[in-house]
Amino acid sequence: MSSSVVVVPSAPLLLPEYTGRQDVGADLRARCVDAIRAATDADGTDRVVLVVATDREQRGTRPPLGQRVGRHLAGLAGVGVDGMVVVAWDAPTAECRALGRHLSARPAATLVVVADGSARRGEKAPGHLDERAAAVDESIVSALRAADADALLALDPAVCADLLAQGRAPLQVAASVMAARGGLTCEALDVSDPYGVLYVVARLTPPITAP
Amino acid sequence: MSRGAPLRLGRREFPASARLVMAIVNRTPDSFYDKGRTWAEDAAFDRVRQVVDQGADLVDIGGIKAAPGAEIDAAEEKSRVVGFVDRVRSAYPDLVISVDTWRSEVARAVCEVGADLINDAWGGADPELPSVAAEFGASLVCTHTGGVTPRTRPHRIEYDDVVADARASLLRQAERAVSMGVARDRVIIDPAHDFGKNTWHSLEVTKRLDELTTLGWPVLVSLSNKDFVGEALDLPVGERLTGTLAATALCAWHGAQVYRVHEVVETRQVLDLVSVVAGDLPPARTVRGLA
Repeated sequence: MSSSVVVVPSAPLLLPEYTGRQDVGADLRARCVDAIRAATDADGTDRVVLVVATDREQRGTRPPLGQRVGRHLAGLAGVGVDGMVVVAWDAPTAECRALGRHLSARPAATLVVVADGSARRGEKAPGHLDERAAAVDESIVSALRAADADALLALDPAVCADLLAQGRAPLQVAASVMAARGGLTCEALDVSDPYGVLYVVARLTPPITAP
Repeated sequence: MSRGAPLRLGRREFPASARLVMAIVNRTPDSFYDKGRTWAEDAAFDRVRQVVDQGADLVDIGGIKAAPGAEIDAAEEKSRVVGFVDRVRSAYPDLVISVDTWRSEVARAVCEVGADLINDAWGGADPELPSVAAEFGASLVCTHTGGVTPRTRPHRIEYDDVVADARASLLRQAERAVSMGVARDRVIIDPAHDFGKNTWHSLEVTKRLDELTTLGWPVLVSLSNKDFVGEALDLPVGERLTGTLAATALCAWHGAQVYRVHEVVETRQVLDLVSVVAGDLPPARTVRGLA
């Protein structure tokens, strides 16, 4: 039974095509890869399903950044991508719930949710400071720490959009899956914001079942 | 057409995309820019230490200023540079050491104590120079001077096409050096700004440097604080750094590979910026818009 949920950021600086001589994303990338590996090992699989958001400011024809980052991290972790759920970054919560229900109807798979918190956590943040960012980000972090699907589903899409929180919709898709699966606990949670964007690397796993 | 060529200096190998800083170290009492600041051996040694710390890829040690002045014979030139090269070699076993000399007798003496590169700024005035480089496995800079006598200023020299003249002369010298036994990837060509050239000539060479960087040889440029920069901007020695760096950027864009300079830090920044724009070097660190 494979049903862990891993959360990783969708920062483009995790991608090789955006890496300079100094690899500023090295540590974060390593933590993401470790989390994916640990989850798939625990689930006894080498396949994952990605849950990603569309880009907030799409200019061209490239696949969404979340999709590319997720595929790259999965590749580094040595696991295959069996499925890809792409949700509109600003999808209403009801739509996220519905996507999650579709996903729950499929055979349980390790989910890799590519999702960030707010990008407005400070004066130097990409979206400049929004005073509401800290509280909303804390609600995301505490919801993941408690594996609390309801708390994730309670995130306000409008406020999250204001805060440039790119991960709200994919987190709510995952929360809908978590609600259906039940019983997940947070095994590992790493929070950082070196550039004013909330990065969370989290691993939520099901209870160990007797063989 | 591809630019430059792979280059070997001492034990080091550099790709055609490399842009190298060659720091000038004068063991002279009278060079135009530093006016004898590193004339004393210890001062020159301090200069070596400084430019190495600043990231110079190689040093160019010279015992005779380029401009006319007191006659310096080979014995005096050797007394200025040979012992000093020996000392630098001992202190910096891996540093690429170039010596600026046109005399084969001096070249032999410095190669015996470990010089890696002979920078013949005077266009092959001594025809035996390549055979010394060949004998020691050293690298060699061939320069275009229009055939003038060493340590003379250009006066009323004209070319039908200075770039064509430089191209023909440099190709002839480079092939001759190879025929005399210098390894092909140890030969560098230098159009020699201001040598046998008025300002118009040096500007033309700068503008059309791609006609030289596409010949299949690595190109060295020596632009630092020279008169063509000064005359282009009407600025005296001491106020030519910005102009030098602008010319450096243009030559770097054209694909020159070695830059003989006084100011290492500033040159390094310009070369790295051009390399980054050209795609020859990734940017140092990229976060903007990517967090």
